[in-house]
Amino acid sequence: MRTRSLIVAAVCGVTILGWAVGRGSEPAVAAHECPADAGVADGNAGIAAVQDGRLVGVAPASAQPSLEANAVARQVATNGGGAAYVQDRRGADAIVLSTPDGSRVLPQSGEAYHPTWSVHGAIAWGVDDRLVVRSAAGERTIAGPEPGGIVFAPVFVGRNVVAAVSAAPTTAVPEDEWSDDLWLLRGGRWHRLTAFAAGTDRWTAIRTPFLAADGSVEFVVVRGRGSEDRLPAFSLWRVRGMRVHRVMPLDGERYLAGYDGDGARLWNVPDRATETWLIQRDTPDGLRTVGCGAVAVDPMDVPDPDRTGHAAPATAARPSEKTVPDPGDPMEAALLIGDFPSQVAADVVAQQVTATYAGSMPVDVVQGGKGSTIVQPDRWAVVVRLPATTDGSAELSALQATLPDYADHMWVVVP
Amino acid sequence: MRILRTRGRPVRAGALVVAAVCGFAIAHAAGVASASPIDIWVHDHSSDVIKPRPDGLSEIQSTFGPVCGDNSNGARSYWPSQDSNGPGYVYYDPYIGKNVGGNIRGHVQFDHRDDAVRWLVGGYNCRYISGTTSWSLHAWGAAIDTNSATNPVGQDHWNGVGSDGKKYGTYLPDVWAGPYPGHKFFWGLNWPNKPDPMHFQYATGY
Repeated sequence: MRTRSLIVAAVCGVTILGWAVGRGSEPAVAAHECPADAGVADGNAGIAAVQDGRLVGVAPASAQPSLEANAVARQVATNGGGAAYVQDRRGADAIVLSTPDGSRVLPQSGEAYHPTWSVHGAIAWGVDDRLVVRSAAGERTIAGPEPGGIVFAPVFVGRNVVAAVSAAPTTAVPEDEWSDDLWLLRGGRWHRLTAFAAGTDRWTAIRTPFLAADGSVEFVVVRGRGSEDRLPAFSLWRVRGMRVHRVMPLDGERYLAGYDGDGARLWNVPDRATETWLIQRDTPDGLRTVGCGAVAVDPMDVPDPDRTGHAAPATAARPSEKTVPDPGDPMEAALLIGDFPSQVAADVVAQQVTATYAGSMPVDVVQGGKGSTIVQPDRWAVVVRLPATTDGSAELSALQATLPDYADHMWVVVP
Repeated sequence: MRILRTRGRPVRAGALVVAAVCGFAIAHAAGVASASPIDIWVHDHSSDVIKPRPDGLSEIQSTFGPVCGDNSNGARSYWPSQDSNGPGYVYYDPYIGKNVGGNIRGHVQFDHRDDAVRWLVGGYNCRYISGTTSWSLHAWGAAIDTNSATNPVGQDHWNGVGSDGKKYGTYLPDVWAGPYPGHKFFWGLNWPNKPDPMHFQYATGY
């Protein structure tokens, strides 16, 4: 009961602090970045966030250490007396702690993730495949449960920590995310909380865990297939103790941003058109935009400093003297429908395709052969040759709409 | 590499017309064209093929459309040593379709350097960058990984050993990202603090 009261008090404190500071000398949000209705209401949801390259909802700018050149602030968390965020730099990052006593910049040894506060004033964050816990007793670095798998998005639950851990790359999935799970650090040992399915194509990601007022941890689970050309499925989950369950599906891409003073969920929802993270609040009538800024998500309007390298080319050696120089002959794309196990099957489809174009486009049946760059050996395909002036994307969409049964089996190729 | 037509317009490239017509006749008689290589292949470095390369998320979105979008994997080509089992398809956005499928794939094949390619080769992949809410450029079909098993993230150099065990130096990075032949991909090895030698992307600032 005491713990719960402290959590509620902390959440309320954060909200009040953010609300108060957000109305101070620091304008919360550049109005042109936010929808007008949000700007009129507040422009900031009363929580700390990163917007337009700077922190909002925290201490006045004069109290914040200036960012290094090319550094980016991200993933800000507050408690009753201060704020912490990642100073994302080229190479190793830093964690910045800002309290009423001043600010400290803590250089890290690698990529840093998601600082978080406990109700007791301790702070934790991820660094590559390790968790760092800093408290009055000192600073500890704890190896994650999976070597090479990054540790991110930690949350204090009492004196324990729940963190997301991403599986290390494999030869089959050499980069980017493919399998996340939640782990509990209790008594110095890691205990696995989830075991989501993942493989070379199917993947599961965990995002933005937050401690709810009832002591549970809520988080967003994203599940998809790497090969599918559609957004993955988003859902809200909850863990309480060692029990994990799905709360509800979400109707699109969004991530938790915390809770309002009355316990209502706050969400970060991307507005891709303006590269802005909206902060939206759960209401009985649905989501209502109450501000803008990236809380635990990554700002869209500034590039990752690690990915802004110089564009130095590879060596300038010519691959082959035999290569024919560019004579200015335009390259033609084609639409390919395939693959078929037999010529007969391909011929049937070729007739449909020919009829679709009423004979106005050259339609061929091709067989994959040794050295083919468009069809594998011993398979057949239908090829529709396109004018050299097009990249084929519009024609692809049009043919998919006309022949929907084959829509998932059509590609632009260069024969 | 160009396949011969079963129907349609005559093959260009004057001196090669005779050979092409012979091939055409044979293929036509058989009722099907064999998608096998012939000795006709040219670059096309016009702006229709090597298009403007976006810089930053805003330009990436306006160029390639929504992330994991319909037909972000709408173009493909067939690559040797695509995975550990052998050749296979690589998928990407049609915006770079001619550049990848025509210029780059054709270049490697015409140079008889297919053995320089070593698994894994991958293009479109709807995924996040690990631990972030940022989508990988693969999720727009705007990046290709090649020779991944021997060029992992974090390795600060290119391993040019091909699938046949021979050393090909920086042949492949040259083709993707070198000033010659100028296919204008950005090489992930040029991220100085987090090199990604397998990674070639048609964008910067992301």
